[in-house]
Amino acid sequence: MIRLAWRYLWSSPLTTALNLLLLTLGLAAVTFVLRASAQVEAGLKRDLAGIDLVVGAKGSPMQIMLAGVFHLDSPTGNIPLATLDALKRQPLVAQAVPLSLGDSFRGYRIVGTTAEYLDLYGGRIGQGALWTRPMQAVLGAEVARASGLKIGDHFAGSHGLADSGGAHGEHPFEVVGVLADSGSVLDRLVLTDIASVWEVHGDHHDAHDADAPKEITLALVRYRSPLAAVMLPRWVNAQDGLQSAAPALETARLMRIVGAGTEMLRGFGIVLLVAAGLSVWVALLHAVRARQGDLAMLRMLGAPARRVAALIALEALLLAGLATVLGLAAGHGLVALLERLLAERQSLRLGALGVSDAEWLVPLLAGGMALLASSWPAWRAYRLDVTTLLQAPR
Amino acid sequence: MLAWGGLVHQYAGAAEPIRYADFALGPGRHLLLRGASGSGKSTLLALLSGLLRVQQGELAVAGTSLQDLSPRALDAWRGATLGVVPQRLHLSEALTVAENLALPALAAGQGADTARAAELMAALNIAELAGRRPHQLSVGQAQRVALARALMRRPQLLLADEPSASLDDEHTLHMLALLLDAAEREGCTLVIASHDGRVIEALGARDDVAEVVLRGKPPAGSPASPASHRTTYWLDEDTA
Repeated sequence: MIRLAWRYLWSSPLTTALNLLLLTLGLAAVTFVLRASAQVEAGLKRDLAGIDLVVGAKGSPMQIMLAGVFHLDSPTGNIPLATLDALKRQPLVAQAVPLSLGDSFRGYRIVGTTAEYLDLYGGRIGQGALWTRPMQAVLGAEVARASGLKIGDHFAGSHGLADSGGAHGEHPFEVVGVLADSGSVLDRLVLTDIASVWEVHGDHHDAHDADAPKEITLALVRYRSPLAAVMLPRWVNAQDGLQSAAPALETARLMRIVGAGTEMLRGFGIVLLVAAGLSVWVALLHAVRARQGDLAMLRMLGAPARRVAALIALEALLLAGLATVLGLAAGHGLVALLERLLAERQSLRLGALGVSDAEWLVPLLAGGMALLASSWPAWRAYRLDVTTLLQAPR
Repeated sequence: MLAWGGLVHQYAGAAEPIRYADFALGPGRHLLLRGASGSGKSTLLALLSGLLRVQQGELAVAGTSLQDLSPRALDAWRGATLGVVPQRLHLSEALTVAENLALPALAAGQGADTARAAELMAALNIAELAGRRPHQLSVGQAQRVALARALMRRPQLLLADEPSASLDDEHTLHMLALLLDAAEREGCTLVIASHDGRVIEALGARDDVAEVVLRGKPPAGSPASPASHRTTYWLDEDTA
């Protein structure tokens, strides 16, 4: 029966190809939305890495979170190094990790920090070792791949977070290590001792600033107790020039903003699917009318009415099955393309994912739509007047 | 082989039922069923093929009482017992000749019987057409393929409905010869429904063919003359 349904399906190749294209596009759009949103969410969760609070200079909490956690935006400014000590002294704080930003290498951010930053993400040294003194650098896996730098090579950072800033040629970094690929934000960072940033930027300051208090850009904080979620942001925001950002809250806000676009794309996918469903419905109705002689003959040859009706439903299901395979492949392909695009732009890395739970919806959606579209044509096939059809010449 | 008694069928909404006089056809004989439009011929064919359920009376084909069968059993019985060459051949254009011959098995939910298909294609001289589509066949070739399809499941009753419709004289005689040869070779009873004078003339000369005429109007002076013009009469009683 499957073979027969397959042959009938392709007896009108143009109609079938058009329906297949419509269904595939709809399912690909739905797959893309389901998979991309799941992967973006997984990527964001992974990069949050248990960071409860980001503390930076007064400004937008969203900007602080994007700059401090995902390294996607410019920081709001610098804060005194003393703030880090003050945070560490807070009984509600389990850990406070400093970050100093400001320079980049070929678009990849140079981050002055401590070894604790690696621990937050469970980062491992793939080659070489961690820095032991200023002006030594450890490259993220993606940076090493893109730049081709090896252990022992030297490079100079550029001022600013874009590649267009002036070079710090007089302060070259030495590559002492390369991180193993972690799939996290670490892959696209150049890590160095926090003192390296002070050393590079010392030259930019006037002589009278040389003794000025040292600064960092941000502090990443992990709470000791849930109570801190209530107390600590208030304390930080009350300090002069300080602003706190709770990554979980800001990420949820971000997802809500991104969600509007996601919903729109999902809606577009559903519209495509409905159009495809209608097209399949019309095609099957036409097929039943065009092949009613064939179907009546099947009844005459002994096929029960339900088998003839099942043949019509099977045609729709075969089409849906094929569209599911193509739609899933196209959806995965689009996500892979998005991943590549984001990597090229040194943006967020999507979380690794096999088949997401939500993707099981795709074959269910396709199968359900096929059954819905074929139900009326199948009923028409079930109710065929065999005697009239076989006797009357058409 | 074929018998009915007290057979009456009434369509929903019809004013009068169609009544069929009792009839029996012995083994080794074939049947020519004649009747103009409205005579009840189509209804009788549908009853014989199990597409209509027996409402009243008895109808036995090849030893099976059709009035006792459920719709599902009737489907299975039709597939196993009946071979049909319809007025319009209804060969599927989506399938090759060989695949068309596999349809009877598929309809019954069975695997294709390729050995039987090869045997019939050889017997009907259409073996070289196996890979062709119906539109690539001549009229004569299409008739042979339709006949092969009807014989695939070794039917006990071979039913041909208006086999000469839209055929010229040569093809009509050719088709009749094919049907009679096939029935003889396969050992099945042939029922031909036709009102074509050429068919009536060709079969009328044969001793092994019984002829039944269904008429829409009662003959004058008939002792059982009912009021309805829809009632069926057997004009030729020499049918047993």
